[in-house]
Amino acid sequence: MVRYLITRLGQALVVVVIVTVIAFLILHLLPGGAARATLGKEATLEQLAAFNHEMGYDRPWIQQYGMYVQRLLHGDLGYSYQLNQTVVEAISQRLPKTMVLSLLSTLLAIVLAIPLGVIQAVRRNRWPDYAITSLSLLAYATPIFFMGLMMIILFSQVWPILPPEAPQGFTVAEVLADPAGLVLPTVTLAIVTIAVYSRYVRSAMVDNLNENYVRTARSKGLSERRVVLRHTLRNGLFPIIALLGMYLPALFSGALVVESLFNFPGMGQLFWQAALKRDFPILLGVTVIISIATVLGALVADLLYAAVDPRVRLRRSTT
Amino acid sequence: MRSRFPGRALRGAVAAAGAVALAAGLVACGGGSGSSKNGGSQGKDTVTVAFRTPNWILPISAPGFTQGENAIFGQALYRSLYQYKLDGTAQYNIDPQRSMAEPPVVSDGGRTLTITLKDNTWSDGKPVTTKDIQFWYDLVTANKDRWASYRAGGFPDNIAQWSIKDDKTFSITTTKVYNTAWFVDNQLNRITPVPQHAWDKDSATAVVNDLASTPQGARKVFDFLTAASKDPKTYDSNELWKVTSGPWKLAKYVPNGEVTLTAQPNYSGVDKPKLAKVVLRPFTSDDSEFNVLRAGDIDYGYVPAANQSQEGYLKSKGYTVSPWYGWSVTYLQLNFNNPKTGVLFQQPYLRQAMQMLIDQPTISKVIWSGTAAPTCGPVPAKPGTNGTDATGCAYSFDPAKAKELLESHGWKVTPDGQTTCQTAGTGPNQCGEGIAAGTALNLTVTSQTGFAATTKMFAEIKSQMAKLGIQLTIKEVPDSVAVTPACKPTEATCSWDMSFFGSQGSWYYPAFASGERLFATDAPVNLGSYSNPEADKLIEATQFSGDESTLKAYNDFLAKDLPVLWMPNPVFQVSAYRSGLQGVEPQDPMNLMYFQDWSWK
Repeated sequence: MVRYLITRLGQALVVVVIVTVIAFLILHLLPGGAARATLGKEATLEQLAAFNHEMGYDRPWIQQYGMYVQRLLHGDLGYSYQLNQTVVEAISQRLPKTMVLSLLSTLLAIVLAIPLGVIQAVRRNRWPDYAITSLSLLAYATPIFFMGLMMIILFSQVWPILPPEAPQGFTVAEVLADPAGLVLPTVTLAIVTIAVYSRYVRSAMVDNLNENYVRTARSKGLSERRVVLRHTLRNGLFPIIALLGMYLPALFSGALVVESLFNFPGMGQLFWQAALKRDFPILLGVTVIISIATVLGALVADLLYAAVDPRVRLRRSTT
Repeated sequence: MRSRFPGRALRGAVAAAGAVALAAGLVACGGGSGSSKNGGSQGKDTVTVAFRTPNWILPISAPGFTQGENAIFGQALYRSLYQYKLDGTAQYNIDPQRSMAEPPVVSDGGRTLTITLKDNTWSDGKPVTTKDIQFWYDLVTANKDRWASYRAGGFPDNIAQWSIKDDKTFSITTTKVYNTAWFVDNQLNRITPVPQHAWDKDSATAVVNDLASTPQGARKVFDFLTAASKDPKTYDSNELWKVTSGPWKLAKYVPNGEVTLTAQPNYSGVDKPKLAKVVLRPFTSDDSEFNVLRAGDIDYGYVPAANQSQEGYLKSKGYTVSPWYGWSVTYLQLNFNNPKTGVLFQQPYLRQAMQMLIDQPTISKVIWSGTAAPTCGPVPAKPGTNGTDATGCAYSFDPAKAKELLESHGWKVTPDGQTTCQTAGTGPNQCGEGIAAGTALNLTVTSQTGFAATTKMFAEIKSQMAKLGIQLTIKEVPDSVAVTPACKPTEATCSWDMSFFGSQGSWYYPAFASGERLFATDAPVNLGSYSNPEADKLIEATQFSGDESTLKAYNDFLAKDLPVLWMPNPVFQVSAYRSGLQGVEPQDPMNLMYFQDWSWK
């Protein structure tokens, strides 16, 4: 197991390095220099040159990359002129808030999607299945921007019971201290996830309910409830585990649309604004974080899979 | 048995959903938030304003930190020596009420300006004296390479002698005789007294002395102050920023988040704050701002261009909707140095023909819903006075005349096709120098993305140009890319033809709207490399001649010569504020906000 972990972490490191090289190259190929974007149209050529020199943008890209990696190894992700903050400060300000929103919405999605998926499977091709399937497809097909806007109009303007913006607190504690502000963005973000997860659970449950082990359990006289919840559901959750692993990067990268709509300055907004303003240090910093989250997410998914599925462990131990 | 499960599961799922809904409901009620917790402040002594988070506090601007929000924030805490107003009532446009000094007394044939400070104090009770002015001067002189307002040859390079007469009086002698109005409006506007008794040191623990009186010392002090200003998370706790001269003090600062200003009880100016608190709330997008505005949760905001049809709704909710006119002009930049198309722009008749295809009045009225006004030349019309009328513009919308101009200069005009140069050469009836026979009028406009009105405007212009066979390709890019760089023909970056970054106005002037930074040869923001010796002469005259007609002569010449194509000038923003909030109007055309004037009815 330890050897497996070390191998996977080594692979992860290689992937992260490759991602940073590609990101670095692409960013430096973008039209419109960082200097002009930062200093504005009034900046003189001398000021532009001084900026490029200070940030190291006047050096060959390979040298810039070398300097970047050197700083990265010391935990220094650079400084953002646009924000007047170090990249570490900017990310550490937004990442916890993004994670709160993402975790809450994921939790809500799981709590609702699993029972919905089970109901659909058990009541397959009957009205509950059709009703939930229709609603899922509707939720899935509705642009999240439109859904959020409808939520705001309904619950903040027509029936003003919830605030139209997310909590404006600086820290996680301040964000959590305003739970009302979290309701609309969390629900908006969760709705699409519920639709997706419930479809996966339904599909897996339907497959498993037709398996021999289920037939055996039923023939042994076990109650249907026990058959479904104790025997089938565990296997039916495998796709969700895989999805959760792949969801880890999303946890770090934020939800741009929801953040924009609900005035919640998270990681998605940070990256988007940085892209518009050619804020290279932020773009690179976020890319590094997300690439690490992606490879770790894949690793976590594999480990979780192994934890719940003895067949995976068995296969791994025999190879 | 089988039938039992779904019923229970269904009930379970309904119970789970119910629990979530109940929790949400409880949160909504128990949290007490609803729409009111963060809400507007009508009837209280607080106002909540949609406002980007300022990120620079030192009242000496640094490159990269010159955004409008920093200027407003800076003025709330540290007043400039002079404040300006453009209503034409004041000498040199100086606002006598808000300024910290009397208007300058001019002597020595216009070379010397003597300035007397009014009786003002810092927030700690110490008087504002010429020592604070000298301290500022020492800092910017020794650090001009790091001062955003520095331009080679400008302040302080153009100061021959700077002398302190006494605690209240100082004088400035310039190297040349300048137009006093220009010098007062565009050079003295940089002066901001800074508290020498609190800041003249190079570390937080050092004792204040006269360190900045030497260039080396001034650099150390500037390093220290700049480092403090680059640490926004300490803005509301750092002792440096507690000594202020403005009407507000900083109560709370969240980097990239909300900023709270409270009234400065020791403010010595005459325009005392009428409110106790101003909350500046940033928004992640226009949509989020407008949703909150519609919900009535802020007292002052703006109506995004895409939502201007909802003006009626906002009014019905108790908001006053008011366009904020800027002291600005808007234009389409032409790249005279483009190695391929630059030769086209060099031809005045071609610029004129293209200008005649821009229907400014209609675009202003229809596309900008009346919130833009035609630009006729480099000097802006008095803000808000010219509506959508283009009377007085040198070139009005006239496609027939544009066609005639092209044809009379050797072009074969093919409506909705491809107009080409038929008669190459430099004669009066020929296309012009450097334009080969067969050259087509294919041009690319690099424009800002994210502004629906701008997109529609260029669709209209493209359509009008196509009618004369001028083919425009519109390329929408982020703001930072739309500001195309000035370039030499040999440089790779010189491939752009035309660029537009004026969705909120291309250029905002200081009080004196001269063009030395825009249209003079090699001027820093002459991005299209326009060059005309006559224009240079007229621009110089606006700076050095006391004759008031120089500005008009400069305007008239460039209005006709077209260093750029003049475009409809949009308002800075359409503001929406609660009708009970007074003192918001008039909105300053130079884009400052004076929260101290605001109060609730």
